[in-house]
Amino acid sequence: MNDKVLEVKDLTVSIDGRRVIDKVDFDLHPGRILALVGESGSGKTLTALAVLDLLPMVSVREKGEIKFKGRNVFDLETGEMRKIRGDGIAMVFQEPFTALNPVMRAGDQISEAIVAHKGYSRIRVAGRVKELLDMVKLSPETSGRYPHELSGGMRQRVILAMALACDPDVLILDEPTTALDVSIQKQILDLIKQIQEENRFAILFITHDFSVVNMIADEVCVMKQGTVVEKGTKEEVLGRPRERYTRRLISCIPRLGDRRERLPV
Amino acid sequence: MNKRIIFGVTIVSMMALAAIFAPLVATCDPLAMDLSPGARLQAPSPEHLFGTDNLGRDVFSRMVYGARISLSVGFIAVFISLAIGIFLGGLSGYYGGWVDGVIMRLVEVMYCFPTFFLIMMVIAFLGPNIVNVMVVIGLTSWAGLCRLVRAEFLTLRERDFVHSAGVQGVPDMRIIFRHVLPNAMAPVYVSATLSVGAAILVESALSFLGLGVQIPAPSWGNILTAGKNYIDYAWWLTLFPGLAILITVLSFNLIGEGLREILDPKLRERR
Repeated sequence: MNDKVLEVKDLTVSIDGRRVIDKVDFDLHPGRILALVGESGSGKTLTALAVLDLLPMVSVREKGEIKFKGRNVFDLETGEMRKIRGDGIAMVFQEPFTALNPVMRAGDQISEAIVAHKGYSRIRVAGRVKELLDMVKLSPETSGRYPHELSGGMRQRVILAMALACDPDVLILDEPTTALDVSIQKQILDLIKQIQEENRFAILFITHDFSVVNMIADEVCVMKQGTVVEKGTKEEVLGRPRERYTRRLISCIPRLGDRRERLPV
Repeated sequence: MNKRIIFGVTIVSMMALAAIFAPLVATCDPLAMDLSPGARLQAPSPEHLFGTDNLGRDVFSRMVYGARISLSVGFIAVFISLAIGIFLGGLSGYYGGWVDGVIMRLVEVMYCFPTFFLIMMVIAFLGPNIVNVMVVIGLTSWAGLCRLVRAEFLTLRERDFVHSAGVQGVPDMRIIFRHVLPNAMAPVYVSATLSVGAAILVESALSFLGLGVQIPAPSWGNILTAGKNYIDYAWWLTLFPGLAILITVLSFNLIGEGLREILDPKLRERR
């Protein structure tokens, strides 16, 4: 429980002299889900990109380190980092409609990371793809389909399968359900939770939605304008929020029968 | 199916078949001269479909063999320009920065030359033969394609699935060739088809000026040249090769237009 698979320490990044990530600290543990919550522009996605050492060119990392299994990702050479991306740390993007290559079959896209990292034989790759499709509860035939033949929920499952292809130790999910409707959202979240319980990897879950946090997270990290304003287990943060900002965010969750003039945030 | 494409493909494949099976299609030896008095400058007849030229050679047979030259120049020249254009355009669009700067300046330099005179000059230096013609046309016509591919890459490289491949640790070259390039190909097909027609025209013009295929080997351009001195009384010497060039180039342009209509969603709606 106490072994950290990923440590983010004192991470500070600025763009054009403005601090967009300011002294961010958190740890990921195997088998736990950390939700990174905050409004748009609070630096959630940027933090995730920093973990993969894929910060945009315009940004400057002022200080801090990110340790993946004890090794600082910023000290690694490009080739070594490439080996970690997709293999040790995988990421799922927000939009299921644009995250798939329209002219490539789903199965080939899932196998990309396996081919890039594992050097398996053709037959073994095909077997793994089948296994992954089964894991995300898609039929094996999906492998031969093109993205336009799949629904939004199916695409998000394919994308999830792509991320899981190499059995990553850390999975970053950047608003994986925001573009889906609520019932599909629930299905995907349950699926993620189930797969995670079976495979015991760590998840960094980025979202702005506290109802999603409530469904899935073990720990919560609330970000505002690049800083972590509150951190703790889900029960602590959602049950007894200490920060005013957190309280206001939580009270933004619409409830049935609520009628409010203005949102508190 | 698109009518233009059907028309274009029919004509082009007829030409291509005739060129491939030239020895079977041609009625006479294209180089066999017959200088006996009645044999020169014969008008078209069942025996000599397109008549004979000033040296008594069968024009139809010469044109069939000439099609080999014209079509192969068209395809090979475009193949060369595609290879260069896609490679440089891809690098330029994908990496941006100074790579893009250097390649785009190179493209601008290429645009500054009056291409045809550049080709003539190079051929004059290297000597006129068919290989030189193909290579030089290919080497001078990639600039437009390069810009096209670059523009496609610029928009595609910001797409999520390209980012996502990068996040998965897929190597750059694989991202370029498996994720970006296949999505950039639609306008490239169109432009390449149109370029084949253009390359055939350039070859004909060079041959017409004596800088392309050398006589006695036949090419549509040099059959025209030979015919121009007799245009007053032997119209068939210029009409048929001229028509062949016209129809072939037209067919390629029609295929290109048709492809554009199919591949460009904006045009599709208007139909």
